[in-house]
Amino acid sequence: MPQTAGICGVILAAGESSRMGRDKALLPWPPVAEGTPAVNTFLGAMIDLLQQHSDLVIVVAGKNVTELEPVADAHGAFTVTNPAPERGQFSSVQVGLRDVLNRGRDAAFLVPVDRPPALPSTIHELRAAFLASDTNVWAAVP
Amino acid sequence: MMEQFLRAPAAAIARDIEHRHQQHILYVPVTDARVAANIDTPEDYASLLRSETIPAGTAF
Repeated sequence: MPQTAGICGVILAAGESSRMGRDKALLPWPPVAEGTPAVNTFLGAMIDLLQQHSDLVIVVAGKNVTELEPVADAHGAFTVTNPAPERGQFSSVQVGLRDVLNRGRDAAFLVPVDRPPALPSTIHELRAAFLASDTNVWAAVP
Repeated sequence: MMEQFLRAPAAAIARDIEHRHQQHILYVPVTDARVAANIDTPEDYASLLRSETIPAGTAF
């Protein structure tokens, strides 16, 4: 029997970005020519991508929630806060997945914000593979 | 997998849980290098910007 999941996008964005020196979620993306204003960010572009392939998108923020929530709002995503992100990224996974269940969905794309968004075709392939799989399959991993 | 993740301690490692349940994982081959990218430092980001070529018509 194939899967019949209600899928959310969950973006893990609660990290402190200490090695980057600024919030990785807000890095300009995609690249633009020098001197041209950036039109989007890693976070905004990730939300835009996942919205094409899921019911809704949830951003897990941490101490940076004040900076990230306006971006999430502007792109139509929900924001949830990890109250103790210093426990590590997995604690943000759990915060995000609980919110998925609270919103009546039962599956999620889990993506960290510290990389550029995947190509749309990649997300499409993963979603299609998961939905076509038997219910004995719990996750599709690239 | 959500149930296994939610039952684990907050300090768990997702990859370890995944490996314990490999019989329930569908590994999907992809050619998209972005899924494995890690941008941690200004140098990583600068390198990404230099290397990235955006195919015409790609939607973000």
